[in-house]
Amino acid sequence: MRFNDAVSGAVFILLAIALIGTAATFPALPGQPYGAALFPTVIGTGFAICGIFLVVRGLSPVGRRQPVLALDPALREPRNAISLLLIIAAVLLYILLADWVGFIPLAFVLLMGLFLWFGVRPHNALIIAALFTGVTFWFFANMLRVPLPRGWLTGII
Amino acid sequence: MDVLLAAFSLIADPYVLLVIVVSAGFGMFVGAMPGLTATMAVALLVPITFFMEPVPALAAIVTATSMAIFAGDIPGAMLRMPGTPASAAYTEDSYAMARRGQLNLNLGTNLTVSVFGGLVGVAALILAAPALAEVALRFTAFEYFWLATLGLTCAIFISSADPVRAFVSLLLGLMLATVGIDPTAGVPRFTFGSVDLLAGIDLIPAMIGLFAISEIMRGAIRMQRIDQDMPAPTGPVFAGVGKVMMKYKLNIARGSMLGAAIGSLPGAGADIAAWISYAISKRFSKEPEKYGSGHIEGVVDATAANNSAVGGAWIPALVFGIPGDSITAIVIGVLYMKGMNPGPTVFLENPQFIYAVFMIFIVANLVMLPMGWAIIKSSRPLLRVPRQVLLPLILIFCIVGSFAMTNSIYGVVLMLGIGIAGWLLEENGFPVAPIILGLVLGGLLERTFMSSMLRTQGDLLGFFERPVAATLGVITLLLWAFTVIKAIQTFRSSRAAGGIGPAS
Repeated sequence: MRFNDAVSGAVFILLAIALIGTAATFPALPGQPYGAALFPTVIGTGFAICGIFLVVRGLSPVGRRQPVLALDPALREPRNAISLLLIIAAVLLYILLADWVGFIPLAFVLLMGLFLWFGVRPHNALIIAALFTGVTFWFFANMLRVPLPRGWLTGII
Repeated sequence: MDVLLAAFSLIADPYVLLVIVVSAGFGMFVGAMPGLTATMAVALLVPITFFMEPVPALAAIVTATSMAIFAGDIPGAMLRMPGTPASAAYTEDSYAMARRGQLNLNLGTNLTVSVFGGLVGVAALILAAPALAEVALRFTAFEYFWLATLGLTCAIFISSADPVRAFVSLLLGLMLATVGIDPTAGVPRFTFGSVDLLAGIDLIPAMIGLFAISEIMRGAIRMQRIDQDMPAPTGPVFAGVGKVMMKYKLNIARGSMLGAAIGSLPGAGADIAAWISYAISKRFSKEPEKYGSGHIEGVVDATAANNSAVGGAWIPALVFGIPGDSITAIVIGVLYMKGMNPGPTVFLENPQFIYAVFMIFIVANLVMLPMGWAIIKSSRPLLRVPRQVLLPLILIFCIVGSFAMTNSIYGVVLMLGIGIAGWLLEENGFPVAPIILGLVLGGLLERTFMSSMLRTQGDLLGFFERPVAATLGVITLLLWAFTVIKAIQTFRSSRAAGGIGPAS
C-alpha cells in the first residue's frame, strides 16, 4: 500500500500544523525563554520541512510515476485483503469484548476463527486453540499473576 | 575479585541457567522462522522477563538475541529466505552452497564462526564498556545531549538510503516521546485527557506493535505454504569446518572486529554489520567474482560480524543509556524497569550486574554450539511448522504481552495503533528502527537540553564550552552537514536521471 510521496508529505505537513498548533497552547515557564512547547515545536518544524521535501519530490516528473496509491499486488487478491482485515479485527474484538467475555472464551474463538480462515484442518485447529488458550492463561494469569480478564468464567476459574 | 565472585554466584543459579536454556530454544525457533526477527523475539520476551529478577531477565534477552541472529542463517541456506534481516546479506551464497550439497559445511561454518564472532563482540564489550564508563562519569548534561543527538544522527546517517524518510521516522519517535508529562514544567502534553497517556507511551507495547503486529499483518497477506523441497542436514555438521576456518581466519577476525565496531554505533545493528562486512570482504577478496554464487568467504565475514554486533550494541547502551540497535533500545527500557538506570553509575553502584551480563554473554555464546547443532539437526520439521498456525498464536501472545505490560487494555490499544502505523510506514519505505531510537532517546534529549539551557541561561554557545561536548557537537554537526548534502545530491540525481523511478 504505497502512496505517492506528495501524499505522505501532505500528511506530515498536516501533522506539523497540528503539533505546532497544540504546542502553542502549552503554558510558558515564568522567566524562562523555553518551556514545554519548545520540543514539540521543533519536531513540528522538522515534519514541515520533510513534508515539503516529500511533496516536491512526489510532484517532480520522476515522482509522478508513482501513482497516488499503489496497492501491493498480493493485496489485490480479496482473500489476502480479508486476511489482513481479520488480523486487525481480531485485536479490535479483543479490545472491545475482553472485559465482558473474558480471555479464555475470546482467545479460543479468535484463534479458531483465524485458523479456519487460514485453512487449518478443523480438528487440528480445535486442539491447538484449546491447548494454547489454556496454557497461555495458566502461564500469564497463574504463574505471572497478570490480571487477564475472566469475564464469563468469573468464579469458575 | 569479590565483584567477579558475586557476579558468578548471580548466574550460577540453576534458575538462571534454566532461563538461559529455555530462552536459547525460544531464540533459535524465532530466529529460524522466516519473517520472525530477533527484535520480535526480544519484544515478545519482555512481558515475561518483566516478572523476573534483573539477572535472569537480562540472561533471557542476551541469549535469545544471540541465538536468533545465528538461527536466521538456517532458513537462508535451506529455503533462500533469511530468518532475520541480519542473515539477508549472504542468503544467496548459503542457498547456492546448500543446492550443491554443502548444506552441512555452510551451517556448520555459520554456527562455529557465529560463536567466535559472538565471543569477540563480548570481548569488545568487556574491554570497552568499563573504560568508557570511567570517562562518562565526568559527563554533564551537555555531553549527554550531544551523545543523544549523535546517536539519533547515526540512525539517520547509517541506516537508510533515504535520509528524509529516516528523519521523518525519527521525528515520529521523538513526537511519541513528548506524550505525557513534560520533564521541566510538568505540563501534560498530547494526553487528550487520558490518564494512561499521562505516563507516556509505553515502550514495550509500542515495540510489539512495530516489530510483531506489523510483521503479522505482512505475513497474513503472504500466507503461502512452505512446501518446496529442503535439503536434509544428514551426516556430521562440523566436517570440514576447521579447514574453512583456518583458510579464512583473517576474514573471521576482520568480520568480528568490524561487527563489534558497527554494532556499537547507535542505530546500526547486526543487519547493517553483516551487509557492510560482506561488502568489505568482497572488496578485498582475491576471488570477488565468486560472491553470490555459493562462496563461503563472504559468509564467514558477515556471519561473524552479525553475531559480534550483538555484543557491540550493548556498549553504548550500558555506558550511556544510548541504544546501539533496536534490541538494545528494548534492553534500556528493561533496565529502567528494573531500577538499574543505564549509565556510568551502574558500573560503580552495581558492578556485579555488569559482570553478570558479561558472563551471561559468554555462557550464551558457548551454549550456542550444542543448541545450534540440535537446531540444525531438527531444522526440517521445524521449518515445516505452518505459518497458518503460527501467526494467530503469535497474535494472541502479542495481545497478552502488551496487556501484561500495562495491566490494562490500554497496552493492547497502543500496540494495535502503533502496529498499523508501523505497517503503513514500512509499506511506504519509512524505516521503523529510528522510531524506536527516537522514542527511547526523546526524553533524555529533552531533559538534557532543557537543563543545559537552564545552566547557560539560553546561550547555545554554552553547548560547546566543555572539550568533550564540543568534540561531540562538532562531529554531530559535520554528520548533519554531510547528510543534508547527500540528501540534496540524491534529490538532484533522481531528477537528472529522469528515466529511473524511485525504487519501491
